[in-house]
Amino acid sequence: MKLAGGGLGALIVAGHAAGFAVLATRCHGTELALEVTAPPASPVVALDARVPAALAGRIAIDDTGAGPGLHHRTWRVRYRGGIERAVGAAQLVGPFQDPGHPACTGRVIVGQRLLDDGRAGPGTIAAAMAAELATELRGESMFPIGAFQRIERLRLGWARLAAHPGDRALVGDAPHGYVRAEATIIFDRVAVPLTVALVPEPSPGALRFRIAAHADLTFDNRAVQWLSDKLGADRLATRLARRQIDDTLITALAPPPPFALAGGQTLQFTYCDDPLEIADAAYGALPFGVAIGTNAADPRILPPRLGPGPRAAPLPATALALDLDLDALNAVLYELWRGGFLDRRLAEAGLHERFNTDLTVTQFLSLRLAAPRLRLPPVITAAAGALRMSAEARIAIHDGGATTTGRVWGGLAFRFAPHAVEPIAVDLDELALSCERAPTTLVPCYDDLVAAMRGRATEFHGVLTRSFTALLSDIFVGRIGAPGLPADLVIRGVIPGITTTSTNATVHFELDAAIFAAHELHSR
Amino acid sequence: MIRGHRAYGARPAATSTVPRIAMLPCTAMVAEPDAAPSPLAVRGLRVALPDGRILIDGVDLTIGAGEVVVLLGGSGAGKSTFARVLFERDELAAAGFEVVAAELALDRDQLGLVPQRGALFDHLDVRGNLELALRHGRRAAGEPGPGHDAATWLTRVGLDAKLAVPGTPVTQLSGGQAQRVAVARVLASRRKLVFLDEPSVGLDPHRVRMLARLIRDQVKALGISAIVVTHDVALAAGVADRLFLLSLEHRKLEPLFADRWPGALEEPGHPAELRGRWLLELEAALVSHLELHGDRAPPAGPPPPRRALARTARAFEPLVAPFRVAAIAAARVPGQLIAHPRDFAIIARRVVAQTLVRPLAFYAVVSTLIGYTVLFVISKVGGAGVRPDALLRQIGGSYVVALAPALSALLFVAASGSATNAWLGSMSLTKQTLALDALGVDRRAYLWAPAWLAAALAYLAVAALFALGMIAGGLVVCRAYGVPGAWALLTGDLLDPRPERVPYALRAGFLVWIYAWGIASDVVAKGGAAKPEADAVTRGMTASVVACTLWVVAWELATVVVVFRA
Repeated sequence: MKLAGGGLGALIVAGHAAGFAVLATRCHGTELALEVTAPPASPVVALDARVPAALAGRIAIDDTGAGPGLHHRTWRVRYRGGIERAVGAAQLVGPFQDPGHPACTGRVIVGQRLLDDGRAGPGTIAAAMAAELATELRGESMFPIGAFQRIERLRLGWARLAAHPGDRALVGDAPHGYVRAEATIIFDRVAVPLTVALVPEPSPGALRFRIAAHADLTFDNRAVQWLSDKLGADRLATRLARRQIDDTLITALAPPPPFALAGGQTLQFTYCDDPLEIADAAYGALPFGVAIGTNAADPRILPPRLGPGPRAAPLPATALALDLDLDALNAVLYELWRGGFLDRRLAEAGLHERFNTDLTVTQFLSLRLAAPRLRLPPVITAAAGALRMSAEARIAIHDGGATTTGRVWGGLAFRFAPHAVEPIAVDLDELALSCERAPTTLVPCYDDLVAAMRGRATEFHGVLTRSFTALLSDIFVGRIGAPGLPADLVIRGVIPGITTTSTNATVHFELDAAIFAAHELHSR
Repeated sequence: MIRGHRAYGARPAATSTVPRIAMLPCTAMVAEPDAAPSPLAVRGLRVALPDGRILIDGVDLTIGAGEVVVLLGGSGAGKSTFARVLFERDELAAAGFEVVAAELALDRDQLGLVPQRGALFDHLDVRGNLELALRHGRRAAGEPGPGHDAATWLTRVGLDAKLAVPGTPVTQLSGGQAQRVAVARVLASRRKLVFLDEPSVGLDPHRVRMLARLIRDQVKALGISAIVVTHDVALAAGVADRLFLLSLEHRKLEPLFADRWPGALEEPGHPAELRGRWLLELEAALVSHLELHGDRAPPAGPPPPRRALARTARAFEPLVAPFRVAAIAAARVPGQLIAHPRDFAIIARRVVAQTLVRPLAFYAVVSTLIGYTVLFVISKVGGAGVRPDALLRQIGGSYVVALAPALSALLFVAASGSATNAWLGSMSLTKQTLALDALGVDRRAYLWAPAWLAAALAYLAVAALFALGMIAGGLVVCRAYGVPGAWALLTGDLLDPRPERVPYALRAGFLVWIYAWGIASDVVAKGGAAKPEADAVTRGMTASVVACTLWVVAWELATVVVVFRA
């Protein structure tokens, strides 16, 4: 009996031990493991996933806003105590931009102030043009007008025929307006009053002006007048206008110059089909588009198309400005992503290294990060008077001997206050992490760590804001555009602003710009 | 080790039908006074101490119906050991005694015992003591239907029937009253043979004579037999039909005045001078024997056989016993619950009081303080620059899940387990368990099963209470740091753990479960083991605390390995 009782007891203990071992192996709770087979890009949201049956009743699904863009769906399970486990997946949702037909998604605005401040002051196109003309004509001498002396009363202006009905004979048909230039060129024997109209004309892939010029030479001597007519003073004026005014205008009105990306890729801004928009005595604006290519790995992935953004009229004080629709920004981001530029910049920025070498991380955490690689192009969308840039990146997470591939979903909120000390404020708006157990199986991971970082989002405000302010400065300030043209553009500062609707936005960059004749700039 | 025939616990129709195996020579024969089947027949009984010395070297005894036999003897002669042979043979064998008999035929259902000092059940009142005997006695005797109630039996032994009022504690009784209640209890159990072990201890001469008359009267009235073990000459002379001396010289049972003893002197018809003369003569015989042999130690016998298996079994007994108890108790719980729910409730209530109710405030305070301290310390370990509330959110209720099972178990073993252990041990020490056996009450069903279940359930309650206390302590810390939703946060790991913490909750639940039955089994096994002396009680308590602590530590470690490897 004793032995039997003891044996039975030992069996009970052994049974318990074995039972617990089995339970511990099998009972891990139901993990929120999602089978996500949705394509990376889709014309409409198609982010379905297979969820564990045991959790079906307690899963909440959050979606980012509807409409085109980078869509993110979060499957969320809440546990007692405010603990949450979530898995997210992103999908690029269309409609998408057409690589074959770049839409007009931006415009360069040249204000009257840059064209001519009324006195052809320094930094204006008028001043540059006067200087170039003077240089061009210096030493010029022709019979019977004599040698070139100087240029007087140079005036440039954006013009509409409605405001200058007398120009109709000179200009002809100019439905979108024109640039009106007036000057008097003083020669030894004559003062040549010159009127030139530069009428923009449709020209695929280029900015073209039709030149209409009239030089009214008046001599006291009838013979000389005859000679002048024969020699063609108008032709001289036209020649001068084409060589100087046309090119200088093109310098100012050209789309942003190509941006060379490493690996031979170039970010191209192209003329598009919309006409130059001219407001009399106010501004001229040239629409342009962003050239995009096809993603070789997955041609379905393209930048989303939100359509034309809302555009506010330029300020009277505007010298030079850029309006970029969200489509333009997204096209730029797409191109930067497609060629790997963003991944390289992310790697160079060394965010992962900064994380890995952070004192707190090295002392307290076992995980280390590799450089992130953007799985999909970042997308900017409008959000309640601000902009929001969303991105999803894959990142290798090393934890001890294990390596997990994570998908980081991040959102940056951009708020603009053009007249504030800090005209742009950037904040970490969203941060989420899911891990790939298999390429199509996503599970929650490092939730508490990510939640802790999310909780410190305000601490990222300063560095993000400084970074993006510096980036804007790097992009615009000090750049001298249009090499080879007779005038160069110098940008001394940039103030971003935004015009939004509920679903779209246009970013407006007010550039503190001046234009100088090339030789003038070089002499500086 | 017991050799020879055993009818322990069985109910043979008549012991005479049992074959008798002659293994030792007969050394003293006692004539049977009549032909009625005897409830006890002992022949050639030999008992050796664990060291091989012979304590009893030859006992032959057969009792006739209606007969009172007195066994006299000095201290160390083996009188009580003889009683243990009849009632506690398993314990004797477990203690290393060797019990050998050519014949040892007894019907335990017919054998009753009045232990020294009565051994009344102090967890029951006077009425309860008697009713327990009545219930089990009737069942054992196969006599369904109403019998005498408690008051009647009290009256029968000359006690006031008012003592049967519910709630009269046995501790309020005088020595004489207690002894008579004990006699009433054994009589109420309707045994055919009553064994009275030193029934006159602590009684004045008048009460000794009253006791002698009582025994005689009841034997006569009920038609039963009695064996009285005593060294009280007055009692022996008053009740004995036959007198025997357990000889310190020969270690045998020897008849005294076999051919000239006049019979029980308290029976009417014996003149006073006759009684006086016999008292003197009996005392002289006894004193003479003790003067000659009183200091004689038991003679050395053959060296005890080297039985490696038995020795190994004895060595591992403390390890094996709890598992055996677990199996026995678990098997007997349902039967006892169904057959004797009242008995079950009485024992369970007593154990719950010992293990849960009395130390309740202690557990509540300690667990709250521990919970507060642990979480407070955790909140500070981050050091400068680390937000305590963030640490607390990260920890959640995991400190409860991790610590509550082990801490509650260790405290339960030390406080509650020791209480029940000591109670069970004291029941053995005061012969109450022996009295239970003698009433035909299976101590394993009556005592172990409910005590085991109650202790296990009490631990489960203590573990839950402990967890609540630790949470309460944690709430204070959370409140100090302004952690919102602290209650949900601290209970989340228990009630709705996130998937990665499910194994920890599972581990905690498993540990609480295994601690519950493990501790209960060890407490009942060690508490219920034979306690020949007071120190054995404390040894049992210490051993149980040590064993249970090892049990807890081993499972903590094993489950940690399993969980984190898994």
